[in-house]
Amino acid sequence: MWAICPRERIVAFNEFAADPEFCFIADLVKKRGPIFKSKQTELVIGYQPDLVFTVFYSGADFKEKLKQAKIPYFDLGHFGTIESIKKQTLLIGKIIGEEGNAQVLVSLIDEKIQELRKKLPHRTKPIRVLYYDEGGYIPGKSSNFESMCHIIRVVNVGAEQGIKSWSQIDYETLLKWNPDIIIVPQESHLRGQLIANEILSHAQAIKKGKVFEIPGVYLRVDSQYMILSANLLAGIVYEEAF
Amino acid sequence: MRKPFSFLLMKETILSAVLVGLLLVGGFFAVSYGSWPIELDDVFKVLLVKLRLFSGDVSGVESTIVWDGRMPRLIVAFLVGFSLAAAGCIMQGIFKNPMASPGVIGISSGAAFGAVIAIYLGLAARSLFALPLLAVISSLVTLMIVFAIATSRGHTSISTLLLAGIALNLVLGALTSFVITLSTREFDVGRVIVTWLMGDLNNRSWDHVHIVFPTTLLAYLGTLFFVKDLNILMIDEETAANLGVNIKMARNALLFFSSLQTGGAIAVSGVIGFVGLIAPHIVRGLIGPDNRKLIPLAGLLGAIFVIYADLFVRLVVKVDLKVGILTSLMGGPFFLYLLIKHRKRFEYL
Repeated sequence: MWAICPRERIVAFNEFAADPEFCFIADLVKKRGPIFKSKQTELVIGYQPDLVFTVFYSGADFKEKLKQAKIPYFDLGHFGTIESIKKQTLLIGKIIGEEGNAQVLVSLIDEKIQELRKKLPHRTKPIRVLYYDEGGYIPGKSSNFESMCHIIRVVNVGAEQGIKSWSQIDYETLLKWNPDIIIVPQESHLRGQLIANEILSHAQAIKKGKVFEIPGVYLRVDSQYMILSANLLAGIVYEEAF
Repeated sequence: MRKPFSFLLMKETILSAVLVGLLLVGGFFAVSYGSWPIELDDVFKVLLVKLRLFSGDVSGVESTIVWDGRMPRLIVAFLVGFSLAAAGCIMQGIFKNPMASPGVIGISSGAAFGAVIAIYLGLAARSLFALPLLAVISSLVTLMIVFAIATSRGHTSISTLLLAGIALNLVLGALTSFVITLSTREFDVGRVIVTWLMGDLNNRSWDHVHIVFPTTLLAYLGTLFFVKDLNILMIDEETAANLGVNIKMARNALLFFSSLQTGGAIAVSGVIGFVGLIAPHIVRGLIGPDNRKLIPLAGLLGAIFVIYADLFVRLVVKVDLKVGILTSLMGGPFFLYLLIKHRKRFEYL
């Protein structure tokens, strides 16, 4: 929205857009404001917007209140993959009458992906990367991590092993899957835990010191900034080429 | 000549043998099978060498998986099941109610709240011992609060204890929900809390054994010391007083041991429900209410219940079903069965 809509038309932002753990432009959003919390329906109604963008998992009560206040809303779909992000960007552009800007953004995304891919070294056997999150949760096929991996031509081990969204695994399974590289969120203490674990001491990623931390915002991103995450991941995975 | 009532003794012997058999079978599967395929010969070799029954070299990945992965998980499952079932026996004995369980006076909610706080504040991520410690402390503090409310002029009223427990359960449940609400902003933390509350034995290590073993052992030995008093208390307090039982001390000590067992178990496994209800009830139906036999045998059954539930979610289901969900899915209908069976009794309440 920030990238395709003239700023003066944006009435307010959800709190997550102003949270640096979730959004790359949080400081800009915070400065621009106003910010509303997810349950502050009254505040949203008070702004009297012409349209509210909701997501498919937004609360039914929130949508009902908007309906009662005669404020139209539009439910956006899944944002998890780069393809869905491009699709939603075009959709938003169409709805707000900024198709041109949306198309430019989508083209820019494609361009950046191509640029990044050109830098990637050719490998006959793709590198297998596993993202290990708190509680032993692993992202699968419909995650943004899968998209990042797809962009930089590496295998997301979670998806490779049949995980659809997110699934919890134990150390034994992690050892069996034996990824080349393990990624953990920087804010966690997972790197130390994995390195210290007896079972995982046999895993090749641990033996070779290939456990890397990435700031959480790069892993949670579900916007065009996913290209930044893909860049960072590529720098880690193909350290020799970057 | 055959002694009268010898069939009772036989019943216990048969039950013990069956339980030990089930335990050995469950234990065998638990250490032999997992996502990493290991030959049975290797599993036995690792176990024999590690238990110093056989000399040889068992270093390598198989040894680590069996000894540092599957074995502590099995032992934790055993100790958790044993603790919860033993604690259930005590509660049912003290409250003279087959529906009573460690959760009834708020101990489980207390432990859960302490653990959730540890996760939310990030302490659980920094130290493996933070969560169990806070869970045990929180369960004991809950017990102290319940006791302080229920005790007046040196006399602790059982009904007030129950009511205070119900109230604290609600308060702690609300506080836990509040922390979960706060944590949903941090998606990862929220997910860890919810997973923990479901009851889980994933990635349990020897450190977890070191946490739950002392609480189980200490509480069990302590319970054995007061087990005769518990039997007498189950008749009525007047009889107990006439027989020289220090009612106050016995009851307080037994509740303390029950809390310690529950806190210790929840600290390493999360909330695994209904074990403390099902196991004592089944064993009591088979061998009678004598707690000297009931507690160890119900403990064994509880351990078997948790081990098999963990095996089921680990080897059969293989998706994100948690042990606590499975025990609740099985325990819920059992609770309803008890309710229907005893409904005549509840009509008078």
